[in-house]
Amino acid sequence: MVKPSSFLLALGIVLFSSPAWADHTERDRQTEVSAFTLQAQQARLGLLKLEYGILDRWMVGTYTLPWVLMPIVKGPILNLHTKVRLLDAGNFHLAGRLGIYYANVQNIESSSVENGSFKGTIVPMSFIGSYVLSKRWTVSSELSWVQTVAHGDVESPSDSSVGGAVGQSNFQLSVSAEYRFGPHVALNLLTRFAPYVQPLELTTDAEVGPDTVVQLEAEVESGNQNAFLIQPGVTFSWGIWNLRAGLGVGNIFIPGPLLVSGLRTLVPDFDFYVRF
Amino acid sequence: MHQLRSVASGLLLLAPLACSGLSLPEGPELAELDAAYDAPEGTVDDETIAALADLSLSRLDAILGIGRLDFVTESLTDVAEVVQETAQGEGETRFQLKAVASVERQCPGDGSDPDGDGLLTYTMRVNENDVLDTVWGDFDRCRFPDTGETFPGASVLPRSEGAIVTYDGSMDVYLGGNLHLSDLSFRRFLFRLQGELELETETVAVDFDFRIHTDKRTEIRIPADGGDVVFGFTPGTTDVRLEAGDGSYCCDFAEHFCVLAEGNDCDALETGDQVLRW
Repeated sequence: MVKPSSFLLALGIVLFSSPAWADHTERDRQTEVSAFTLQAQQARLGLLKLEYGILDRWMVGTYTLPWVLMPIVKGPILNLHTKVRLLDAGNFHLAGRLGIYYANVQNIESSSVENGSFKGTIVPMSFIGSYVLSKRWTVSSELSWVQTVAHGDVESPSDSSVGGAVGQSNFQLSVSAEYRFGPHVALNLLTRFAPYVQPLELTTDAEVGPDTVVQLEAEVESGNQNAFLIQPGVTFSWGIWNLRAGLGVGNIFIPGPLLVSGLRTLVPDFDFYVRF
Repeated sequence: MHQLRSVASGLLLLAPLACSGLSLPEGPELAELDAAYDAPEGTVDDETIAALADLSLSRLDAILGIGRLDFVTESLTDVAEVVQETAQGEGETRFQLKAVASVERQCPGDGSDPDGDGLLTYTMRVNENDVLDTVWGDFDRCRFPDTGETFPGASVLPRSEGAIVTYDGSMDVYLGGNLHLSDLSFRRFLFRLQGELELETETVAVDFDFRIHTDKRTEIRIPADGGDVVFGFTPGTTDVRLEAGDGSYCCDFAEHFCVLAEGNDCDALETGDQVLRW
């Protein structure tokens, strides 16, 4: 049994004895929608996700929300992602990002999750290029293909729905810009666009009463063709403490699996994290 | 830079691999035939009315022998509900559905041998959340128990209540227009049948169409001079509506006369201004 005081002490040592403070610097750059990675043995522990730099060019991570939901939905939602910086050529940097998300959940009902029922694997793959224009300006662009594989027959769109977004393969483009006021404050602008969302294919065998058998082959589009998101925000960084917040408008692109919802609304972005 | 181009082109190659392609079957559409019921162009007179009335009764008798295809209209309604549920997913309405429903329905038979009662198969299509208005199907030796219902006092075919009627042939159905999944209701069904009807002692060729309304009113299109005329039968009465190119009539098939129709129904059939007799 670990005493609380011992745990706090250990946490304090971990947090404050790290040599790498993570204000915005030449080396410590934001890793969201950029080609940059954490440094070796650097961690990013946040409300949204946990990430760790294995090498200077290679980091791994996982999103926290699925782990929190697992006991609630009584089904596995496993997720892992990794990013590798492939190329540093002067001010240009190129990285590849790969994630894998596996879920087998049924009958989720809450105020925020509508008829969540999903059994499938989602593999988002991205290539991200970043160009450091100046000491203050950095722009990045990301090309992503999200491959979804439904396990078993999908009998309705809700069977393939994750928090309101249908588990459809899609191709999307992102462009982001960062403007640094200094080591503590950066403005962000993120734009996403999904020009292609694959229609969901369904096969249903239904019995209607004792005498009728129906085989239904269907394609479903979720109103998320040409989905877009424009989301300005800001990141505050003070030592190891970081707060990222933003508010945009457009379709919801679920962070991590990058599934696209057909719902157009105000889309917030928020994460509070330590990086050390 | 070459490295970057390779990466981008590799990623774009993935997109076509994921393209799908559910294609909807195509065939004869019945919207035009349905319009012919609403605007008949044929004419009728004292010379032709008797033959036209007899032919309409003969076809009505065949239709009643197969129970007005009530089991088909019920099946179409049930299958449409399945499609609705699939598309909407618990209140979700933003989905755009394209679908083909392939249906196998066991025929009613007489209950003694379900496997031998024959099969109805048909295809219903959905595009952009609309049920497409024409359904194609086939009856494979489909057996019906004859309800014995006839036009009052006039059964033309050799039928009796409880006898088995077998239909073997094709079926096209027009479901009406504006069939949005979000607000789906069928108001009428137009059937076109081509096949053979086996009665107890006689086999008759079937090659005609008719329209059934939800109140069981049955309209039958009959070729006449200059086009078609449409007879409208209401269950339990010998008063028959006749729509022709030169006007609308109310007819009493028991007394063999028609009068010019006033209004949309024939409830108050007067004998004073007869214009057709046979």
